[in-house]
Amino acid sequence: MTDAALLAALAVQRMALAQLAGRVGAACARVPDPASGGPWAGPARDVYVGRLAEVARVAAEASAAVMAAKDLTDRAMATVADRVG
Amino acid sequence: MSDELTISGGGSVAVATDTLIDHAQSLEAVRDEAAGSARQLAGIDRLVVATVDLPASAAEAEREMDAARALLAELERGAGLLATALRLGADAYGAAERYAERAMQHLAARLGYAAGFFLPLLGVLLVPSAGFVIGGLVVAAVLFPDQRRDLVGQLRRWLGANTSTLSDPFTVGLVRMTVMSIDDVAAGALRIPPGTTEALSALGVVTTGSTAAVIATVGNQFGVFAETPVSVRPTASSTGAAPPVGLAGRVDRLPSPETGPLGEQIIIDRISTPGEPDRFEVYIGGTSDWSVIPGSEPLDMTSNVQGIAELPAGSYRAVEQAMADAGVTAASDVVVTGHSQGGLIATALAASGDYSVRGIVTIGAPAGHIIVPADIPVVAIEHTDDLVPALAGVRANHDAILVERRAFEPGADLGDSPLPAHERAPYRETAALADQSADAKLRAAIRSMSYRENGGATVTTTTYLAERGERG
Repeated sequence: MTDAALLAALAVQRMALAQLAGRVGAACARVPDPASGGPWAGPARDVYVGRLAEVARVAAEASAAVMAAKDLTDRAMATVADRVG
Repeated sequence: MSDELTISGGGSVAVATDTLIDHAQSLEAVRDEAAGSARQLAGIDRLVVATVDLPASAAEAEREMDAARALLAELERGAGLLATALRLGADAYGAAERYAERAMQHLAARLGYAAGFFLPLLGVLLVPSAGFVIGGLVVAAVLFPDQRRDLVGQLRRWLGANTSTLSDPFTVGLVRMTVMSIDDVAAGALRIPPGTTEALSALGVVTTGSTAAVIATVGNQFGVFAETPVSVRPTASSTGAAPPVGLAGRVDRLPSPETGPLGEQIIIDRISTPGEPDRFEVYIGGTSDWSVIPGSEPLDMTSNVQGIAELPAGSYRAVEQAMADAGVTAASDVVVTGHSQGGLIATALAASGDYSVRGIVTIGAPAGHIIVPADIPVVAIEHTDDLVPALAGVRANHDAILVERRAFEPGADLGDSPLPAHERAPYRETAALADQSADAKLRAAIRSMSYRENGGATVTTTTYLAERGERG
């Protein structure tokens, strides 16, 4: 793969990751707030809140990973662009 | 007042609160988004081919994408499991509630049978004291004629003084079970073998309706609950209203016989759109006359008993006449909305099969025992602290979408009404909350009754006054 082709591929990847980051961020925002407690009462509430917090954590980590991939792609693009001159 | 709705029915056993539905739908959306995102990420991952001169940051980006894919798969699984648990929880809650309801019904039937069985003995024991009580009442009636005339007023005052008890969901449940046990009391008194009425109930032979029919037939011998001919006349007509929107929009259109100029009980909107057949919206008010002896008002207690008995009540015939006058035919699309007895009539119209009913909306109606064809959307709004819907006994129509809410929290100011949770205003609030609900069944039912917003519709509104005639 030539540097020019690599740069083009990285640019497409960066654009796709930026769009995906928005999508995953929106999904994160749709996770119900664990602090609301949900529809349960008593011990069921604690179990539910715990599971909901876990879902919220995984969603946040997935979103962060996509964002990190996008930022790293930015850096890779800068490196390849330097090489191309 | 609580804003929390509980939604059940629609052919399902699930009983779900609005919060549960909100959470389940949100988590299902998260699950679907996670699955879609993971697929999209798999496509992105193939864009850059690994080469020897690939920058380190590009290789790190690949690793982050791998991590993101694993996390998205975990998110899809976690959110999906939690959503499924919520849905199953609603099903289990509904099934448990229905089981508990059946158990209570069974217990109430046994207690009712025992009460009926020992009724003669109780009668013998109570005759001496009953003699004193009746004698005292007769003497009081002779000595104090003004107080005798004020009996209805005294009843209203008693109801007013006991509003909080009458508006307690426990009392409502008790009334519901009592209604279901009346036939068992009679069976016990008549020495019919135990369990016979339960078996006949299961076969649909003995129902709340049949019990009411017996009451109506017996009462008829004494001039009580006796049906009469009815007549209907239009009193006003106008154009320019917009077609109704949602449940609250329909509740807003209900007539108020107590404040109307002539006490009109029925309003019919004829909705005409060029190139389409006319459609109709029928709005029926609630009981206006609480006397058991029929006067001139057809929306009275006689119609209540006849209606619950699924007999041609005066109010039902009056609405049929008004519909005919407005141009409603068997082929016309019609949506019927009713409060209290009006809801009972709406349900009976839908069950009759005589009209092309596109949907009905009832608020505080004693109509849960009437089976409506499953393909007709029925939205029944009931307050758990409203006694009136309980008069129909345990709900038999599980295809109806039941929207429940407690109108007044314990200790709330109940105002002057004897049955505050049965009033139009709190039901209007509940209808507005239901319009905002995320429940899929409820949204589909509301959508099926709505109109396309093409702006070309003309609404002709006619108000009708129904009156009873002399008994033939």
